[in-house]
Amino acid sequence: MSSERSRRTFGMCGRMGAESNQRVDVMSNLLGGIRSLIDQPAGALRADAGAVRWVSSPRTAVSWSPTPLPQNLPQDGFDVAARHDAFSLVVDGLQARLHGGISGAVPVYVELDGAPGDGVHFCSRADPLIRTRTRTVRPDWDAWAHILAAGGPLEGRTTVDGIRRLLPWERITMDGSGATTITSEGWPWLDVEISGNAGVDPVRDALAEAVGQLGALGEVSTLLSGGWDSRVLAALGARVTTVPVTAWTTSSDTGTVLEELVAAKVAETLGIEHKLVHPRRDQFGQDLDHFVRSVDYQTSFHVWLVPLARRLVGTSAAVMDGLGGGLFVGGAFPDDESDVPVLDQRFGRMARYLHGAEQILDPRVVHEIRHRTRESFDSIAKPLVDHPFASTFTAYLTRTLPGISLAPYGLVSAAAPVATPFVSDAVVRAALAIPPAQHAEGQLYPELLRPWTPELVELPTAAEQTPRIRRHQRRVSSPEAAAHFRELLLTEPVRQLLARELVDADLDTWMRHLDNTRSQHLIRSLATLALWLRRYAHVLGDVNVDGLLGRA
Amino acid sequence: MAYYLPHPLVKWFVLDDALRRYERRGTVPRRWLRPERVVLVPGRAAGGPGQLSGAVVDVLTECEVAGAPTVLLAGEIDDLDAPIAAVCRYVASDRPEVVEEARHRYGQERVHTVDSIEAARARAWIGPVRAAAERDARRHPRRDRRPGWLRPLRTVYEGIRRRARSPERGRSRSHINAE
Repeated sequence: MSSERSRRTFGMCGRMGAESNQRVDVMSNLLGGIRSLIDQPAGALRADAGAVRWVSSPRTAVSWSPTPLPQNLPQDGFDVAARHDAFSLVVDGLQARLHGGISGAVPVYVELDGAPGDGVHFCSRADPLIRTRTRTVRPDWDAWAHILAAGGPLEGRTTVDGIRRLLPWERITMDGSGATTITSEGWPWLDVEISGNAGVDPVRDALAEAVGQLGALGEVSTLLSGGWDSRVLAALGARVTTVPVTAWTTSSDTGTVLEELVAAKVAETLGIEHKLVHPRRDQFGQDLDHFVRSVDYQTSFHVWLVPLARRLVGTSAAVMDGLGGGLFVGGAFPDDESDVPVLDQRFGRMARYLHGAEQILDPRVVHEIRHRTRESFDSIAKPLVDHPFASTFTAYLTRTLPGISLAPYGLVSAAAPVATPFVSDAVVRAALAIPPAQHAEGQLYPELLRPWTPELVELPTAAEQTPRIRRHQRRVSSPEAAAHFRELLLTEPVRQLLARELVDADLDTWMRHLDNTRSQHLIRSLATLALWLRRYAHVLGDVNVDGLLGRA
Repeated sequence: MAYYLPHPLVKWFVLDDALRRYERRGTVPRRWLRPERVVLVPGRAAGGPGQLSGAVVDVLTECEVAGAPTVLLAGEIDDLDAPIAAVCRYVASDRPEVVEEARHRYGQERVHTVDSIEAARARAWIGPVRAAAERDARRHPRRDRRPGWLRPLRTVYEGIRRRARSPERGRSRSHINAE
């Protein structure tokens, strides 16, 4: 199974209700042609070779994930979601149910505003849903505000009004009458009990089991940067699996090559093959376009990862990514001890790109996207405010899932199978059992790593060694990239969103803004909007951007 | 050739010299590594290491931390494919086809045409390369907004902080995602 599965991840699509497969057929073709695994009146599903069909009479079900799955799955959608973080469609007579995975990291897009009798259509990519949509395609300006301010659409929104992304542990049920119910109640991660006696050993054991199971299904490779999470995964791959492991690194384009150098040191210490992918300056424009298409225009993070993703096309190993490690193990995004209310602190961290945003955006746009983003942010963060891991879950739901998760489960998964062991259920549960204070400043990493590779415990990370002045020219702020961004952003209607000074600025000024992380994020996100408007011009018609100017 | 200690007026040295020093002492002296002193990195065609392994990684890490500009001496297009090429800040070549390809990959401003990539003849062309490195450093002054008088103090403080941090306690900023 694994060798067949590993050639390419195409995705999955299907319907609940509707009965006609006409739209499912078109979506399947847009995904590259995938096989039919369920075809019943209550539901249909097409999926790539990674899907697993299971029957628990009278139910028929298919589970799917970009991560290789074993053939003998539990015969229950909840168990599959928890133990394998996989999506399932379960058809039971005239009723059908979609189960999202427990982490929510794998995007599954659902169209919920169909006309009566249209059913509910879903897909692992948003593009086939948009291109086959029978209702008007309208931008969701809240989602675009979130992308600009925080990096990705909050609350399960997408760039298109009416199409949603499944939240963690979310289920959608359609009964025989066509009525749907949606719930994500009972997400188990919120109820993990903290134990004063909990240590890092169960985290290590859970990681080892997750990576061991992956290795048992086929070849494994890993992304390797200069940080802790990928170092842990590389060590696991080298020590736990019996298959040869390859580590892949590319420039994160932050003005230093310490990521590459530290990664080389780690790979050599572990005795694993290391492949270093050097980005090409003359391909920046193509890479930007490749990225935003791969992630369905939901985020502009991780454009720098594209050269590596291109090289992974055609490889057969499942690629491990450290998604979630920094949050659930490393204690990232902690609250500080200032007098600033915690919700304001947390919003400030997620929407830090708005600091100084008037240099890039029209002041009305800054006001509007701040307002729209804060409203959605509060709907997520307020119910969590008293949770012991409130800052962790807030960051996970407002940054990791909407934006970061699309690097592995959008960009990389379009090239090869992907696995993210740090967000497997057992690992998260073990990590959350450890009191929050013990996570602070990455304190758990050395003990997590020590039994596998004690020599790597002492090796400083790239971030620790990075000098204050970063002297390498970033590709994203190069003359070529700046000219490309300027051409995209000065095109109507995106031009209306810009600060007046930026419209008239010379190339050096654009380069200087792109050299600043916050301004760069805004420019990248506006470019994503420009490319999205260009891509869907045929279905969007004449679109104005009044929604972001506070005029709608 | 025995390793040597560059005089303050020496404008460059070759990676091999630093490697010899490193293998003897376990470190490259801090006074070797300066933002204005160029480190010449011969490509494989010129007998350089090509691979990123062993002491090469350690020495290049020290160069990077110190801000020393590295220049790959590329004799063939294949030199641009070697892992070591991915961590050099500039490329110099005496072959037009290599220069052209390097400019596509690295960008115009990071690639220099030289008369010869023999390190012994670097004196003839090192001036413009150093000047370009200084220009690039000045181009982004916002990256270090500390007043000049504060920088040495801050450097000392950061050194103390690094040494004081026990490896048992883990390290901060380990999670930062490049975006």
